[in-house]
Amino acid sequence: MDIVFILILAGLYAVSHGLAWALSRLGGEP
Amino acid sequence: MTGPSLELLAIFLAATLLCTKPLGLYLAHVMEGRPIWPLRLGRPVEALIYRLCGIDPAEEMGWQRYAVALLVFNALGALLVYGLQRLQYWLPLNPEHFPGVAPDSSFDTAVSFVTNTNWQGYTPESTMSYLTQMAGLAVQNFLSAATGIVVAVALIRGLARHSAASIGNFWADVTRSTLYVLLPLSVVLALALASQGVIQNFSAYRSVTMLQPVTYEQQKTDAAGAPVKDGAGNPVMESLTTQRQTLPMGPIASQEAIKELGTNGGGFLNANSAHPYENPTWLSNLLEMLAIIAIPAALTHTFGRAVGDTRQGWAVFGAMAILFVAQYAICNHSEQLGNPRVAALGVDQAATALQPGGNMEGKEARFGIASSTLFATITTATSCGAVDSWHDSYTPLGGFVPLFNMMLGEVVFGGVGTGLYSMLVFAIIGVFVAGLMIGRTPEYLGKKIEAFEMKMSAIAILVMPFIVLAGTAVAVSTAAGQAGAANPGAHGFSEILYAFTSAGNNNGSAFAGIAANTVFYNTALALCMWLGRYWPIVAVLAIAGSLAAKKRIPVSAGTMPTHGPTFIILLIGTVLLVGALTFVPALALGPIVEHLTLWGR
Repeated sequence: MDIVFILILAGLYAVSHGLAWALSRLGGEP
Repeated sequence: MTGPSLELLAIFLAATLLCTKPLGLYLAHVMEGRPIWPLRLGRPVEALIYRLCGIDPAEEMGWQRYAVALLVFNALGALLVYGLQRLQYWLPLNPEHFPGVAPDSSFDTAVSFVTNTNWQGYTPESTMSYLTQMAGLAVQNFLSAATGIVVAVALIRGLARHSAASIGNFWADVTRSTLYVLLPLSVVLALALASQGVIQNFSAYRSVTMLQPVTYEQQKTDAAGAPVKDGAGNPVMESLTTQRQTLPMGPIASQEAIKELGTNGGGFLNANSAHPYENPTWLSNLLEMLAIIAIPAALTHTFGRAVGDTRQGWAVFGAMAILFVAQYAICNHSEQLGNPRVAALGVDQAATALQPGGNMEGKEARFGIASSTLFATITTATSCGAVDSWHDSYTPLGGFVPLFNMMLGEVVFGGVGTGLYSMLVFAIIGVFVAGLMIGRTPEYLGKKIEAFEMKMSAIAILVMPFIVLAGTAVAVSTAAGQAGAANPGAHGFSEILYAFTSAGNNNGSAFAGIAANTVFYNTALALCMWLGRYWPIVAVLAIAGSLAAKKRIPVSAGTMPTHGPTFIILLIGTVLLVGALTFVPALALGPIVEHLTLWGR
């Protein structure tokens, strides 16, 4: 079970990092 | 509202006002690294941290780097707290020999404490070792609070700077806010609480014989911990008799202080601030309430100082204070009115010199209705989640207030940092709406509000309602979700809605009736906590980066003043309209229908 929850945590990190990347592509990066 | 309630409110607001300016000023100095004496005193420790971690505090970051550093820092924190819980049986400071926490509960708790939610699906005193409480949970109480502060500071810099490519250094900001703000305030508060009787030790739990046997009723649960219900969906109770009582011990005062100051809310004990070991006296209760609101209120002044016009900060403070007083008045009045079903039995619910009157179910006699409803309003207006009374036992309208407070996005002072940055997002939306109404390009503090800022504001505002409503919908439509609610009908729905609202807003308080230590709730709520925390943070940092890069427009005849009563009304209206339009349908199925059922003829 531990590996399942660690993978979920990694997934949550990935989607948040992905959001930051996607938003920077929208034109917010100076 | 009764006289004592008004007196308590007046004392509390006066004390908050007294703290706001000096603490706000101090925060401004700390975040800009000005050489005031606490910073000079702590410089060697700060420098050592930077050297050990390989940090150059002078290195500026763009918003994307700042966001990634924040996400990495928090994800690693979650991993550490998860590991500590799983391995606690083999680690020191575990006098009760608690086994490793179950994987789903460890995951939920790790995400909960890293996101500043501190939702507790478990019973702390029978689950967590002292090491887990201190090195895992209390450490995250500091770091999650620091994370909130630095995001607010980054947004303030975005508004204060112009033509800049950066919003600060995440590592330096976290270090300074922990070292110079949260740690010293926690030490002072922990000593003050210990003076009132909050315990602080590493002793094993004590088993004592009570003077007489006690028979009590408790809700029956099955092997999985879910409440057992009868055919009508009502909880099945069982009667138990005992003459022995186990008294939990532990380093409570030190954790209690940061629990309030960091608007964390996770109690060392399951009863949280209703337990006399966490909150023994009227004074400790007042200190805890003040500690919850002190930093969020002070940050409004920090904001005003940073943008060079303290009236801007006071305008935000004013909008928060007006909403706060209204929330307290509704909650307090509803509880003071009492329960008509109880009144029909001939019970006297009038406030007199000898009794507080009203609905005392779920409230500590030593706090009464005035302190309990004020605590409930504060803990949900901010993102704290500590409780000194059971919100589940409030009248429908009294319980509606904590729920609606969270649904507003916890912007009424709000969490440390989160309250200010969320309110500033509402301010951006407010000036945009006002700009549309008067036909001018919206601007806030000399910064043009354009499409990018509005898209980011929309993300920051809409993520929370989406995860709250979607999570609630999934829970009420699945057997695993329905199993957790202890009550049938509208109140059961309120319990589930409250749980997801609390998780999505990183509050952590609960309608006590829900049994949430199940794989379904531990996983679903953890997902809500993570997304409800970091997606808005990423959007807010994007706004900060975008605003920092803009030029400052000089004030002209067409500039809408954002420091006066018109702006305060606009801000309050924006917050209420967004909250009401998003959540009224769900509220109608829960507390509103409960209220009509209770009071309707």
